[in-house]
Amino acid sequence: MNAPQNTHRPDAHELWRKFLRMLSLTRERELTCNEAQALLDVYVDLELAGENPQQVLPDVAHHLRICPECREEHDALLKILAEDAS
Amino acid sequence: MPTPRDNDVWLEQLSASGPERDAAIQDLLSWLQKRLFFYLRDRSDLRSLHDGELQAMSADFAQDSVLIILQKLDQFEGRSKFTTWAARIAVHQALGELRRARWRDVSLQAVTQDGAFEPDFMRRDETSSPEEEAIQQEALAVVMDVIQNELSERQSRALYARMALRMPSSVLAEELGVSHNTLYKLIHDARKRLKARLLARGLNPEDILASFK
Ligand SMILES: [Zn+2]
Repeated sequence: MNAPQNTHRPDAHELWRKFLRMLSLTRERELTCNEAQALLDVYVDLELAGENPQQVLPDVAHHLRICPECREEHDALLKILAEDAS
Repeated sequence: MPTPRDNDVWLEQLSASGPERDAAIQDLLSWLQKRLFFYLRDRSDLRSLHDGELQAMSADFAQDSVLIILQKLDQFEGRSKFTTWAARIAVHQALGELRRARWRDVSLQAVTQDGAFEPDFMRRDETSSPEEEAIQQEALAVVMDVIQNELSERQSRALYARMALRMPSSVLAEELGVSHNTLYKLIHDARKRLKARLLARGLNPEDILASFK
């Protein structure tokens, strides 16, 4: 059985860079996905209001940098709501 | 937007009974369905689906989401707009379904043969200068040593599945038979250990990254 389509493996050099990037972002204390997601609506409301969520909720901003799924959900949420506002 | 209501009105109407509640639910449902449809239509991995299929898909996602929203109503703390909170739940539900569907029938065992960490899955960047390459080589050796000798088998499998295979954590947690939080802790502990070992050898991941062209 193969990995699903469009989940092809990144090449080995790119992976090494990603690995280092992930380690450089690693902290002693981080939010879990559940903790970050519980604040995602607050975070996105700040963004839509033109405020600076990275400053108000830095731990959520950090989680979004290290977690691809939460980042995907954040981007989707922003897109859904931003298009609605326009 | 659904008919504009402030948060209190949403809560009041959705918790009430009778036609007011039905109207609020219907409003929320059709708004979510419409927004999800436009979102799904923009996704490159769903490009092969026609509008009818996407409509049906967004209707299902919206339907499921509204049920969850109604169940969780008492958890809404009013820290965001109600519609943002509701959309957050819908997005989580929809993307979770899409990930599960994409990874259906793919087991970690099958993808990685024996499920173990493949040591050659990373290679340093040989385009760097000889000095930089030597540092990278040393760093990679430390990383591999930790993976092979210090991490548990489960930790290295989890790390490999996340990094190299990009397996979503919800799918991986199920695969390993652990909760999402347990999986997060498993990988977080592995990352902290790897970072600490590198730093102890004077190898700062940030500096190594900065040396890439
Ligand atoms: Zn996350």
